[in-house]
Order: sequence, then structure tokens, then C-alpha cells
Amino acid sequence: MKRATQEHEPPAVFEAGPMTGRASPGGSDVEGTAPEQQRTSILQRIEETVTIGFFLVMFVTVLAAVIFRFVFNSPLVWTTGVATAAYIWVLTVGSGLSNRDDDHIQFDLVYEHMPPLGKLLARIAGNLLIIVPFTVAIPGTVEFLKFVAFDQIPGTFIHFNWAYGGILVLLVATVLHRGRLFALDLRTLITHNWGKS
Amino acid sequence: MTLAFGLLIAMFIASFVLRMPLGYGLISAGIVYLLVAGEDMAQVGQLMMGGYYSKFILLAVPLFIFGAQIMNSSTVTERIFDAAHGFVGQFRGGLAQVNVVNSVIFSGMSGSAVADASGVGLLEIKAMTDNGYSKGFACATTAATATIGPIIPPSIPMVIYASLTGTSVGTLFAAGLVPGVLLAVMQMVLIRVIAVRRGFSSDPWVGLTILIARTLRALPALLTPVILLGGIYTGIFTPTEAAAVASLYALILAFVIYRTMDLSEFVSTFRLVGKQTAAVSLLIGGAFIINYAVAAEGIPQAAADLILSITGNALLLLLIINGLFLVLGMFLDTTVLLLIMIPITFPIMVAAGIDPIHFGVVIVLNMMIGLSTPPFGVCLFIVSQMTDTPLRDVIKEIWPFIGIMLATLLILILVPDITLFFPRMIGYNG
Repeated sequence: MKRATQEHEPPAVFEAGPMTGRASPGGSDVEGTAPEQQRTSILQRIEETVTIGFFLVMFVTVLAAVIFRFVFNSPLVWTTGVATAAYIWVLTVGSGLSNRDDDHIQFDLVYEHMPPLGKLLARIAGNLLIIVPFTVAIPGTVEFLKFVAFDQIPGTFIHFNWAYGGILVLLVATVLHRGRLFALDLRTLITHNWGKS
Repeated sequence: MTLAFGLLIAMFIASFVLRMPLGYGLISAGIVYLLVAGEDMAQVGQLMMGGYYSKFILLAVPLFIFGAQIMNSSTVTERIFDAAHGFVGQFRGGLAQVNVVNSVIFSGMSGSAVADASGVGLLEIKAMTDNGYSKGFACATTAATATIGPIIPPSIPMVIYASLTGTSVGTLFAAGLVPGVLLAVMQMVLIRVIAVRRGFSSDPWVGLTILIARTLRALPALLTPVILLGGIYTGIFTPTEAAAVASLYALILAFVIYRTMDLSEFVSTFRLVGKQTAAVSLLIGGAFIINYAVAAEGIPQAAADLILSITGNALLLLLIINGLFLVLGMFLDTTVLLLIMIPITFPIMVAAGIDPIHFGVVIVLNMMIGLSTPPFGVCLFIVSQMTDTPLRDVIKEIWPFIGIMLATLLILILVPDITLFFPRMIGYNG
């Protein structure tokens, strides 16, 4: 069990991206053409900014609760709800950063002992087992967000569909990210000459 | 067992075999369970978001990670190391002893063994190897002493344990103090024995003037645990708020007092914290769904009935459960182990009459041993990777430390009063 690190990764050919053929950690980050890199960079910037922004909101809100209660003797009713909503957005958007760096917690005891083709098949199957359930959960999650839209975080005008909206971002972004990795690995499986490797 | 739960277990195993990100793996397994069990898919959002929203204490996790990373990014660690060296550097095996004291002090600021190993670890190992200690021994000492981190408050595993069991985080933190110090003392005794056997030298005492100077230089940093724990126990703030206040204090140290952090470092610290928060919190979100499934299937009750039918002896049960956690801890991440096993084992322990605070501290120590236990001890990987030391060299040296940690665990299991003594002093009735 570990956070994935590059030195444990399989040979480059099986991690290759379609554009340049360069190795990438865990098959997650594939360097592509200039426009693709630009899009990745913009997306990464957005993820970083949103994550940092919501973290600051969470941090400052928790501090505000202490200051108003302890210094001004005037407890705020909204801080718990706002800080928790910000936390939800930190973790849902922040998971995109972990995806980008292949930095999620993973168990690789079995995977590391697989042959290259086995690793490729494991990644394809693993991504499929994420993509299908996450996709299935999206319509129900939209209904859930519609349902909670009527309520607000106490003491604020923030509706719960906004507070909880990060889960939809998480589901959709994960399906797209894992879908891309799935497609790349599938292409490698089909196009690579396995007889020669 | 229903088909839905069987599929959940199959998905869970698949996420390990196929090296899926475990956070996603748990969520996927939960979704499959809900789907096959015929539940509304809106439950996914309800269970995860409702779970996060109802557990304000979980916000302490990213805030403690943030505080520790700020401390690691500034020169705070070096100042603490110098102060620790002034106190125990003159003992036999001086720098290894400094390593222990350094970890004890840093434990009061950070709640994570991984943060300790990767933060102060590099400094400790470099100092030891520069002074003639073998890399393997330096790495093993650092990996072992990092495990003190989550025993002495604050502690991220204790926060998660409290959120799962409804126990008081403040009481758990208080209960970790004495066991943490006991573990440190046991490690210092072990190092002394090894030092005598191997003829390790000691540094000359730095003298009172230098000791005072070093202590004063580190004093602002040393105040962190005082602010943190003092705030909690005087009722000024909750553990979550304490984490935010400690992080603010770390920022003030880094930007205003020590002036060792710039904006770019600040942003990269946030990026790292965002990733770590997501990695841990996704596991927690997945566990909300899994725990719903486990409860819906009546697993905790069935497990309690089964185990209590074998024996009702509380001590024996505690030993069995600890044995189970030790074995699983050799392979599983501590967060996964906590999130999956605590909801199943906790009712058994309570039914057997074991104090939930005692159980919490014992289990956290147990899981920390797993961080240094081959074949998959995360702390071993970190120190080995950081210093380019072959893992086998670290593993060769870690066994005496594992032995001493197991001995400490056994003492804590057999004598609950060691754990409960301090909480009772501050009003715990258990």
C-alpha cells in the first residue's frame, strides 16, 4: 500500500501517450501536442486555484468562528456549514490534482508482479470498474442535488445544491479522466505488437 | 450474505489487485452495492455529502496536514532539532536519541507519521549519517520514531477514529500523551542498548548557555503544542478550530517570525495539501457508503455475535483484534484499515466492556507499527526513497524497533490505566 511513485512504474512503452510516446507516471499524465499541453496547463491552473481558494475559505471561516466567539463573544451560526461546504469542494476538486500526479493511495503488491501485458490489462479493467459505476451514479446525483436545492446552509443564502455540487464535479471529472486513460491503454493494447515484446 | 454485498467485496478486492486508486475503488464498490441492492442512486450523494457535512471534526484532517506542511517548509524543524540536540545529544548514541526527542516535539505539531518521516526525517538522517551512523540504522531509527507522531496529540488517525465511533477527540488526544511518551522512552532505552553494543559515541554536552540559546531560538515553535492542547482543554476551541489556530500560528512563524517562506513555496504547500486532503478524504467518502452497506447487512452485529460466542474475555478479544490489525497493517494503509475495520470491531469491543478511548489509542499505536513493518511499511519506503538507501538495509535495522513497539503495545493492552490515567485526571469518567 502506498502512494504511487514513479520508480515503481512499468516500462515506458506501456505507459506511452499517443502523441509523443513519452513515459508518464502511472499512465495518468500523458504529454501531448502543444495545444493539448496548453489545455492541461489551463485545467491544472483552474484546479489549483479552485482548490487553494476553497481551502482558504475553509481555513478563514474556521478561524472566524473562534475569533467571533472568543474575542467578540458573538458566535456565528454559518461558519460550520460554510467551512464544511468549502472542505467538500477542496476534496472533490483536489482529487483532480491527485489524478494528474497519480498521487492517490493505491495498493500495488499484486500489480508490481504482473508482466507488462498484465499491467496494461489491469489498468484497463481497473479504469472500467471506476468509469461504469461513476457514470451510473451521475443521474441519481443530479436528482439528489435538485432535491437538496430547496434548503440553505443555516445563516446563509447558499443552497445545498451548491454546497454539495462538488460531488457532481468529482463524478464527471473522474469519468472523463479515467475514460481518457482507458482509451489510451486500449489503443496501446490494440496497436502494440505483443508478439515482439 | 446478499449478492449485492458479495459484489461489494469482489469490487473491494479488485481495487487492490488492479491497483485502482482506493478512494475511487471504495466509492465504486459502494455504488455497485447500492445499484444491485435496488437502492436509489441518489443515495450516493446523500451518504457521501451527508457524511462529510455531519462530521465537522473531519475538517481537522486537512488543517493538521496544512500546519505540518507549513512547519516542514520553514526552518522550524531545524530549530527544534538543535534544541533536542542540546537536551539529549550527550547521551550514548546521541544523535539517535536526538531523533527520538525531535520526533516527540514535532509530534506536538503534526498529526501524521508520514509528515514526520518526510519532514524532519531527512534532517535527522543526514545529521546521523554525517556523524558516522550507518544509513540503514539512521533510516530505521527515523521510520520508527516517526510513529510517535500520531500517538502524541494532535493525531489524524485519532480524529478519524473519533468521527467513526463518536468518541471525544479531546479525550483521545489526552489519552495519547502518556503512551506516546512511554513509546519514546522505550525507544531511547533500546537505542542506549544498541549504542553500548555497537560502541556508538556521544556528543559532548553543549553547556547551559548554548542549551538556553537553542531553546529560546526554538521557543516560538515549541509553543505550538501548548497553544493547541491548551486551547482544547481550556474549552476555548474545538479540535477542528485548534487545527486552524495551529496552522495560523505556523504561518505566522514561517512568514513573520522566522521569515523562511515565500509566496511560491506557500502556493506549492497548498497544492500538496490539496492533494493529500483529497487522497484521504475520498477514502473517507467511499467508507461512508461501505459502512452504510455493512450496517444494512447487519455485519457488525453478526461479527459481534460470532466472536463473543467464542470468547467473552475482554483481554483475549483485545489481543485477537490487535493481532488482526497487526497482520492487516502490514499490507493496508492506516486510513483504509481504520475506515473499514473500526465500524466492524468497535461494537465488539464495546460489547466486551473495553473502554472506547483505551481501544482507540491501542489501535492507533497498532496501526503505526504497521507503517514500519515490512513488506509494506509506508515510513520505510519514505526514508529509503528520500535518502537513496536500499530498503533491505532499512529493514535489517528496523526489527529491534518493531520489537520495542510491540512490547509497548502489549504493555498498553495489559495496563489500560497507563492510557486512561491522564484523561481521568481531566474529567473522563471511563
